[in-house]
Amino acid sequence: MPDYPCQRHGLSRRQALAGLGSLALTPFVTRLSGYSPQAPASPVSIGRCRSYGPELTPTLGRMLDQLGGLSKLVAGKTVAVKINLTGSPRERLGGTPSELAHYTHPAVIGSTIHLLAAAGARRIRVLEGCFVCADPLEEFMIDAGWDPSPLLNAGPNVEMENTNVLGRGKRYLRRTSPQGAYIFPGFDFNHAWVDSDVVVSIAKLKEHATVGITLGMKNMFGATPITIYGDSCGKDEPATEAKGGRGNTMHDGSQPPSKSALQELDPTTPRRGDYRMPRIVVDVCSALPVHLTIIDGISTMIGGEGPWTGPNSKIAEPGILIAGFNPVCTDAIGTAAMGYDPMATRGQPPFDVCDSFLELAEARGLGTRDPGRIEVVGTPLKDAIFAFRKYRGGGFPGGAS
Amino acid sequence: MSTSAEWIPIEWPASWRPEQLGLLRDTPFNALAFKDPPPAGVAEAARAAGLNAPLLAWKAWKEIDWAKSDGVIAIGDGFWPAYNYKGLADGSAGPTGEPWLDANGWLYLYSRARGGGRTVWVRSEPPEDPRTVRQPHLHLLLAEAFAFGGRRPLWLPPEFAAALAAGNGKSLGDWKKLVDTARWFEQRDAWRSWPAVAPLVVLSDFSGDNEYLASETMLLAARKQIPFWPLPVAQVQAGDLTGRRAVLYLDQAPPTPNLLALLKAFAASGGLVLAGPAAAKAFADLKPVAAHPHPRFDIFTLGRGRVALARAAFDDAWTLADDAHLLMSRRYDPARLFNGGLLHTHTAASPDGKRTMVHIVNYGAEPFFNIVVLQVTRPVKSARIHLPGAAEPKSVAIGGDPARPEIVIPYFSVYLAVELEHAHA
Repeated sequence: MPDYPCQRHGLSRRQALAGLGSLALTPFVTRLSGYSPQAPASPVSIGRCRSYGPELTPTLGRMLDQLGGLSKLVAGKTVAVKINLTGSPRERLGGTPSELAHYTHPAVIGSTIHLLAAAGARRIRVLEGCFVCADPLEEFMIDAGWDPSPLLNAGPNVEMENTNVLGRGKRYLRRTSPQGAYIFPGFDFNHAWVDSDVVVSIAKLKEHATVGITLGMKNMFGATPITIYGDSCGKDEPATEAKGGRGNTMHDGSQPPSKSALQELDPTTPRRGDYRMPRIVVDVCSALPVHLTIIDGISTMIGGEGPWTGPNSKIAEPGILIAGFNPVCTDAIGTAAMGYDPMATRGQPPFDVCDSFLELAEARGLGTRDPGRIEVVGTPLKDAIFAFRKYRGGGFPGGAS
Repeated sequence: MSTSAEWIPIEWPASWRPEQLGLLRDTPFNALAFKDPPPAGVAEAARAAGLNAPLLAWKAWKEIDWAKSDGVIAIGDGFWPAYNYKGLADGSAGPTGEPWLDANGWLYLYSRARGGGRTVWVRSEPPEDPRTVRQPHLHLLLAEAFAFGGRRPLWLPPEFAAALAAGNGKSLGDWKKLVDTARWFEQRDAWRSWPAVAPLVVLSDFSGDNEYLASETMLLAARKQIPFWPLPVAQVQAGDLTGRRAVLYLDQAPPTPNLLALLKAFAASGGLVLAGPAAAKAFADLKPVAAHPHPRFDIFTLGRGRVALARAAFDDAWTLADDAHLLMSRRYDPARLFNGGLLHTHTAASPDGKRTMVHIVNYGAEPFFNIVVLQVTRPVKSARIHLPGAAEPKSVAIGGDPARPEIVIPYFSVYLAVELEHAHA
């Protein structure tokens, strides 16, 4: 058995890293402050997929089969699927529909539902904390110009919920981080997250103006209800209405969450998004483990996480899907597929001006970010790389550098 | 002598004298509106020149006696249509999360519904400092009224009016543009009477204890661009509910037996009726919907439709409008704009139902820099853009999903209409 899974594909570890494209990679071995040799490694599948048409479901199905299939994970289980619908449903990057830019495409969501159902999932919940509101998720989709009906019919027992609010639950349910935490020791979530057996994160392959990149792990940040963690959260108890973003409580820490929730471990830590957000992302993923990550990189935007993130933003078609059971490993390969070094630390792209949530997650033992330890199945990594920053020019997303 | 429906009004500037009547020659403006009694001789000179010069008593919209008014119904407390930067800056921008627009769309719809075909003019006080008014704002006065099927006297800033009286060349050039815009709208006057495509009916007597909630609900529904049509309870007939998706019955009194029968028939045929607790008894013995509970409504099935009864008296107009929209579903919105910003739409249908006109008003009154996309929720055969100043409409490409066609909106400063031709009525 080779030391590193990539060697099964005839690549040395160095060759695998060299496959990260023409970026000048700085030696990663000097940046191992968070390195955890015990962090688990798990295979990641890459699939070449040029469109959201008929090739999508077979490609995704093949990728999941390459990972060992879904049945063991989801048969007879309730599955929570986190999608990424960041920002206002009426805001587009130019005239491009959101699903081709910054929203996970409904076809990917539908294919995932279909495959989960085929693998025996008993109930599938499509979930999102919809932008600054308590609207039913179906209505949020309609406002974005989608028809949610095909998704609700893509499998039996499919339901949707906006997890900003109580929804169908009677109270918020708590999950804590067994591995310890950086900022928040645990979170209170909408019931749909906590009483599901399996969590799937369907993310978009994107950069991010606060944490450098947003993939499967950062996607889970949106699971935190804004009634508790939003700018208009209740002071003592969760607000009954969902309003405002998460800038105060999460990004800059200028306001605590509702007192009913677990508070910050150390309120003296820096009140800056570049420090807090990478850590909170890890805390969320530690409290609410992700069992399957699917990254939609067929069509996406580069230069940020949404149309608001600056003049360098534009549409790109990397034409890939990425999937894996370990969120850190999957995001690490996603990072590499974007032409970045997942071993980068603060000050190095894509983490020019923020801490690396991959590094922090690895240090917390959630998974390895070392591409040399991650077996890539399907399309070779070197063939999947679409160098975001090279394609768009410029530095950190949103203009910070 | 023309009827008041044909009068096209301009508000007589205080500085003008009868000799300025000449400025109105060869323009569409054929009626003078006076906020205050006009200077001696003006009305008489106007009439002698063939113009109409009614002396109107401008009233707050709440004070209009819709049963007794005849001639021109003069509403004097409209908004000055604009993006309210002040509201945004001082934190009073309200609960909607939308840009705070001072807009009169709801008032035009309301006055159309209450007026029953009578002539209604809406005016407002100009901004505190009239010097802040730019020419596009004047075009916006005309455009907003036109888009929502109403009519508003054109108001001229004092400095501009004085410059016109003095024969200032640039001002006369601006005046010609205003006249051309007014003429362009009047050439399309028939569009004003096209019925609104409004899946939601706001049903009330709009008076007494119901007046405040009704007006706030309409105001905020309009701000959120919820397509609604106001309907007075005293006028409602079964045909008024044909093609609607939901009825929001706002009044505190339970519906009369006749109205109740209409509402039940509407729900039974697939509609949604929303009502306050006072109506609960009237809808007793319905079967609850077996879904997760709504935070504010108990929901029941009735035939092919539903009845949603509020557990507590309506008190928050914004939440109520939003609840009505979401319980009805946004899928019935006839049109939505992406990157719309300060643009508002009003969708109306041709009498034969084969065409719809999506009026788009830019309350920013200046060119925008986003790519704006219009999505409509009905298949479209062809689309044409109407732009003031252009004699003929221009065909535009239709993209997107055929079930939800999309049209990229060209840049414009104040008003544009998209005419959509459908395969079927």
